[in-house]
Amino acid sequence: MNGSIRSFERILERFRFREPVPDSVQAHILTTKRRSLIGILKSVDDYSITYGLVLAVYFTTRRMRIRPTVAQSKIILAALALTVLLVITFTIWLVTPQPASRPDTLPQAAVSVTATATATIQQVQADEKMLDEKTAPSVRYRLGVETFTSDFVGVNERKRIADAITNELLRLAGPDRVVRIGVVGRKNVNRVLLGAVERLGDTYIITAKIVDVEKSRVLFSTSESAGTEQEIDTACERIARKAAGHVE
Amino acid sequence: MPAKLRDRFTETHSQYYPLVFSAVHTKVDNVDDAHDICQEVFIKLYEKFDSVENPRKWLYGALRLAVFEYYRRRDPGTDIDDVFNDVSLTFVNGFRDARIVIAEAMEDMVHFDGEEDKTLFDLIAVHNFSYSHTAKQLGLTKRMVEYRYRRIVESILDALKKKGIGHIEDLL
Repeated sequence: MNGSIRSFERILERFRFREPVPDSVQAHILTTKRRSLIGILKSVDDYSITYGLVLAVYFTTRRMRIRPTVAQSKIILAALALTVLLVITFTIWLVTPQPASRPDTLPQAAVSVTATATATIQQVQADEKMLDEKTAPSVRYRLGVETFTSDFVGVNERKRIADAITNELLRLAGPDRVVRIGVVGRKNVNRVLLGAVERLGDTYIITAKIVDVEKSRVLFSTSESAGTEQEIDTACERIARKAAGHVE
Repeated sequence: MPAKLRDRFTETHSQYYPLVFSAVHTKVDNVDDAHDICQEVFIKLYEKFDSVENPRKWLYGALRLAVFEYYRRRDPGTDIDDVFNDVSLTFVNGFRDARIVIAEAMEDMVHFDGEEDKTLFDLIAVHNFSYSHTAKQLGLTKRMVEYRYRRIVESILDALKKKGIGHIEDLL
């Protein structure tokens, strides 16, 4: 068959049908085809950058022996653009450091959990505050009065003596300054008034002292005597008046 | 121009540009001038594209005029017949008839599977394009070009046989 083709071409030559184009011109045509088309479209004002990209796809794919139409080239270009966009977005997402999560950016479930936790913490704090106000008034109660000790009088009498001194101190120093130990713990006061009741014959000797809890140091000491049980209350008032200056 | 029409124009340009450029180049023998004339011809095609039925024939007609204009600008006294002298006139008697038969066979579209086949044939047979360059121009593989060209030539030779030219070598 190659012989027939050669003979046919020789006949074309013989009858002067052939108008041969040099190889260099053939190559030139190949390289200038797209530029020529762009030049034409520009000269008639029908060219845009987007269409230039479509032409690039159209001619490039044809060189790769893929022969899409121009319409198909547009679809390929759109797909390529989308792919590039996705790749760029993904790369930026990978490269850019992620900002720390803030409560307002948390998912709804996390927000709900956080809100619940916050409310719980606030409630606990409020409860603790209330508890402190009830059980830990050390800030305001500077002086705590302990039940006095004694080998000669009963516990009720000792408590009564401590209560009497406390009441007088409350009256003198103010209700926020003095408290009975037992109502609050010793650790909740700065100073403690403690004492003892002794009996010598018919005379009761009431000894009281104020101790700085933190320094474990005696700040004040006094004693009063009472001949009768009725005088005990008067003695308590005197002790209270003397101790009042050491409440601060 | 509507987008669809512009797309069709682009495909038409891509298909016929090598043919038009080759045809012009054989007449003017200058790459830059051939390029300018091609631009001029295709701009005219763009302007009338909507009404053109057969772009190949229209382009050949337009390029004749453009080449004639090219020569006339150089020499106002140029005769178009001098530029496009009919070579068939140089043949006499039987040779002239044989040339006409071959020309008709080459133009008969029954041998071609569409306009692209005709372009492929013209590039190789008339303008002596290599299979490789033809393949690149048309976006085909070299094997495909070779196969299609062979099929077209076989078809033309069969047609020539039917017209009484049994042995093509007799014409040589």
